[in-house]
Amino acid sequence: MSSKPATTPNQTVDSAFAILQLFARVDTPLGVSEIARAINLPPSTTHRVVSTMLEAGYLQQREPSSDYEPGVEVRELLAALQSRYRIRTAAMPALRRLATLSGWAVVLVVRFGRQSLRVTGVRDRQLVHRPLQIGEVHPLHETSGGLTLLAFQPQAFVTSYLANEPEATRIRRVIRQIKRDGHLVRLENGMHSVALPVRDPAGTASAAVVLEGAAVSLGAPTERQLKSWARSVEAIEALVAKEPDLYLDPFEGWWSR
Amino acid sequence: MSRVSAAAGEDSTGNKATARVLRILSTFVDGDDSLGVTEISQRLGMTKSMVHRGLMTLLRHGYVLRDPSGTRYQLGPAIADFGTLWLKPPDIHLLCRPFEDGLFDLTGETVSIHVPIGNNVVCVDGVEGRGPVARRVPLGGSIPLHVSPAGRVVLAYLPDEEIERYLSRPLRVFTKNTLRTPEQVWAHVRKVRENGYADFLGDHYPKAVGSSVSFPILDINGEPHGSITVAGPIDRLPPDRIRTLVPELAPIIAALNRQSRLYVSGREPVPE
Repeated sequence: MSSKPATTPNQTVDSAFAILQLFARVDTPLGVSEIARAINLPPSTTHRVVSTMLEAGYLQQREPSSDYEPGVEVRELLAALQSRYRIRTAAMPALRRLATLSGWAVVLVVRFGRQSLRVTGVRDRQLVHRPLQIGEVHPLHETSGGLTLLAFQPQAFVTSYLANEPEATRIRRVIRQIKRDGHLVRLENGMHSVALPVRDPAGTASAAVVLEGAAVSLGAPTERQLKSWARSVEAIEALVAKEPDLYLDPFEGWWSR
Repeated sequence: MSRVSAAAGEDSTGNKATARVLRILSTFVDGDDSLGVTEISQRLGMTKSMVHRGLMTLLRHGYVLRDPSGTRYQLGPAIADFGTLWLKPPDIHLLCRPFEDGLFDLTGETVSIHVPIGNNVVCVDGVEGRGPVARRVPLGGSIPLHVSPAGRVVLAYLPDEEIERYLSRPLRVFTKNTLRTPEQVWAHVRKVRENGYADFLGDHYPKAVGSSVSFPILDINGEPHGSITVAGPIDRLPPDRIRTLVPELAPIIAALNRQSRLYVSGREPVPE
């Protein structure tokens, strides 16, 4: 039998974070033994870490199950992260107007390093609608909002982003198309999406407005609709031009290192 | 034996350190752009060296960042690794249930949840009060936004422009007490925003035998997911009783809003 101590303090902290990251990959509550197996720790040690996290509000149990899921503190941290993007609240009135005008769901996405983050939104008024999925993070080239952000980044960023990307040629073609049209219209999995860049006076877009709707409820957008939506987004651009602070990337220093 | 307790000892040190690190991380949810070691140690009653050590751990993971000044810390983007699946707004029933039960346990009266749909609020859930004269839960019942506490409290927390839009149409009158002019509604909206609740006006049913008080369930933008209402016979809930009841209910309402404020409401805007 080995006589080495079970865990050092730092290992215990790290396993707490490993448990939180584990829950990012599953969407069901888990029991202690499942958690232990997934993070490769003895059940007894896992049990103690889980108790500490439960007490601190980082995990919770929901009746009638005794399984664990992320607690209120985790949700609060994620919400706090999103509120660091001040454009979120500032753009809200314009997003609401756009939702009323269009009947489509409207979502604001921001550039989150090499990803896009859905920071706020307004639901549509259709019978079949897609959840707003606020808080979701995707690689920039995977969504219409992200591609639109990518299209309006400085050339150096685009080059570095596409450097190891097998689909670089296809993505470059889409980027050229977005720059030409000023928006991206897509029909995927029965959902229409229209992404419009929110540009600062230098022409860089740190945010994009995405309109979404189920194809069964809504037809493809008309030229007239696209023009009118672009005007709504210009209202947000005017706001940003007047108050550049709203548009600061709270993590700028972090991404560039 | 001694080895087992030594291991458990290590473990307990580790768990104490973990608890401290998690508490330090939690101070960053309060909306401060950045925090210094001294502020955190004062808030948590921990020594500065404990806080410093905790911050170093969080810094190593990217859960906090150091400001360019080198002395202050802010929430880091690696927090996003904690996952987004769980940010999906929960079902309003699931979110409210424990708090409905809490209000019921405290008052024994009927508790109901209303959500805004178009120009109305609709009752989607509730717990029925005790006794033969308890109010029924008006499940599925729909009330215009300017009528009854459940509707008026939702109206009051809508963005001003949506209230304007609602008021651009004629206001349906139910009793002599129904708010009937935009001026009356705006005055009421200001009062509700100041008090944090809407109370009984006798503006819905003529010769009402019931009374109620409603609180907002707010989202991350301060807009309403809906309202939560305590309703009972008027002899048990007269206006002066409601005034003393509100502070008793406040902790439960605050706890509910602490959770509901983490999400964007899936609310439909008031129609054009």
